[in-house]
Amino acid sequence: MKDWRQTWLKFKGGDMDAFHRIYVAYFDKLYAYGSKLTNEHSVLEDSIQELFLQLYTRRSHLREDVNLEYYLLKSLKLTIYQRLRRKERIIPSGLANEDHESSLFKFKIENADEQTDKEGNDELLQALSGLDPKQRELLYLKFYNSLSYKEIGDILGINPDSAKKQVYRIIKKLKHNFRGFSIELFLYVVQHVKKS
Amino acid sequence: MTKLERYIEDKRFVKWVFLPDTEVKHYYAKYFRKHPEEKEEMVKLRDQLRCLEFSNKSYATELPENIFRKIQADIIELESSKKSQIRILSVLKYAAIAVLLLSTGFFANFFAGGNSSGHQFSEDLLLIGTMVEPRLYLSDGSSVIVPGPDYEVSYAQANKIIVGHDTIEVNRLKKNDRGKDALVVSYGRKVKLVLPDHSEVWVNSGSRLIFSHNFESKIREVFLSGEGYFDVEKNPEQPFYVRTTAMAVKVLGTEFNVSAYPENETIEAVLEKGSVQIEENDRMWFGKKAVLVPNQRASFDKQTHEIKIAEVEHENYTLWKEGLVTIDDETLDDVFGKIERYFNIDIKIADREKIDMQISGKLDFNVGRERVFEYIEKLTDGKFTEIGPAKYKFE
Repeated sequence: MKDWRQTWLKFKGGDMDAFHRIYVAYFDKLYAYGSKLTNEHSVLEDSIQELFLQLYTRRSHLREDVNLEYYLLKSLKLTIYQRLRRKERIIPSGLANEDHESSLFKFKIENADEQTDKEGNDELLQALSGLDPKQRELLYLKFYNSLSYKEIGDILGINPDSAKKQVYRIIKKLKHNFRGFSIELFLYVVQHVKKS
Repeated sequence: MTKLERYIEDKRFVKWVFLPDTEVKHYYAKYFRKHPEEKEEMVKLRDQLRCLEFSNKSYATELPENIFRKIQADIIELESSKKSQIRILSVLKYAAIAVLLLSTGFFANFFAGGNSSGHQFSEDLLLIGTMVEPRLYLSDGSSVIVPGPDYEVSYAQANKIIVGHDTIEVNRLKKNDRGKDALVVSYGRKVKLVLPDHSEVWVNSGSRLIFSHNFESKIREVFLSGEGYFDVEKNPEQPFYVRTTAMAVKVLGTEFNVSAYPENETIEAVLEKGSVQIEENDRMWFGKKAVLVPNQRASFDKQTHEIKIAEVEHENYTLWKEGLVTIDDETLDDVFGKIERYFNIDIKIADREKIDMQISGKLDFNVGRERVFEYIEKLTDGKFTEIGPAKYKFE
């Protein structure tokens, strides 16, 4: 991490190798996040392309101490939304219909087949499916990225306190739904999911 | 901090739960040997949290490099197009500029001050908000609409005023002649005025300029509320003044731009080239003065009568004359978003190629939708067509 700053400064100076290192370092994370924001591969890929082009052209305006992860995740989201909006040719608010929305930020456990043992994880699945896309995104940003609540709140358009409160509210609710079945059963479910 | 918080806010713990690598696994194996009492609870929480594992989509191994190659190609294209961008911008440079922003009560002060331009204008001037087209008020009490699309008025020929395509013959010897004409520019318009000395003034949206129809006295002077860009003919024998409620701009050099809107608390002048002097009104000996050099802005605070000088980019203050404000590397989609909000219209883009086109330059919504469209068309080689009420297609 200590020579990361060096890489960043080199990149700001226009160094293509440094630019490529940054690209490689973040591609996976951006793809993972982006693929949860849209199901359209072309939109995602074009957005990543645009995002890094923007990063390159605006490099001299970026602060040296910028949290690049936050900057890139947020910019990717904006870029994707912008493209979706353009594609849909509709006004900013309407991003997608509900069917589309429910296919975003899917939990692994939800991908289980219908015949999956319902006894144990029914309640849990219900609790999970009760989470709206924004709450799912909140959990994703919290647990899969190193962002502060301020940064998470900024990406989601909510205030930091509310972001934090929501995370705990959801976890407590889920913990409640864990009661009644053992870890073994849970692991069994997870394994089952993985097989399918 | 609760126990739960202590775990959840611990980046290492979160990593162990969701993205464990050997290092973090190793760490916790060691940790539990030291703190076996915490193991059960932490493992339980880990397993619970793992139900929040997200389903990921995979991508082809060559995808990242493919995209990176496209980015590289974009960069090369961008760098080579920079030259033409610079050319576009340089066309928009002007010789000399001063901008004044003027606060409330200009006409009250101006007319109460016993100036000879007469009260007759004032009532008409108050109607500016209801006016559709700019209007020229002549000193004999008559008035004429300044027609588009050029919105030009010229006093360059003696005893003639050219308004659009019409020429008005004027006889200035009438007894009731008060000697001053006024140009009132309605919102969303902009008028180019050529003064008798061939100086040029662009009077901006929602502005009023009162001026002599001849410049035969010792000084040339105009009275401004709103905004104007002045390109003044140099004449050391006959200095040119732009007067406002609280201060005046005296032109020492060649050209400048003045803007004076009643809403503002400060009066501002920005100079691009040449030299101007800012003078506080009615304080011949004690008033504050400041001389501006290019790319400086003088702000005159009407409350404190302080003049502050700052270094600025003159273009940000003066390019309205071309109907432009600064746009820095924005995509057409971004720019259209702004236009849509401002004019409350809907723009659909038919040409996918153009949607991502980035533009840099200047844009001003004050000039009206049609003019904004014209400018975008020129810049992008595109075309707007109306496809419904307040709906336009761009291709």
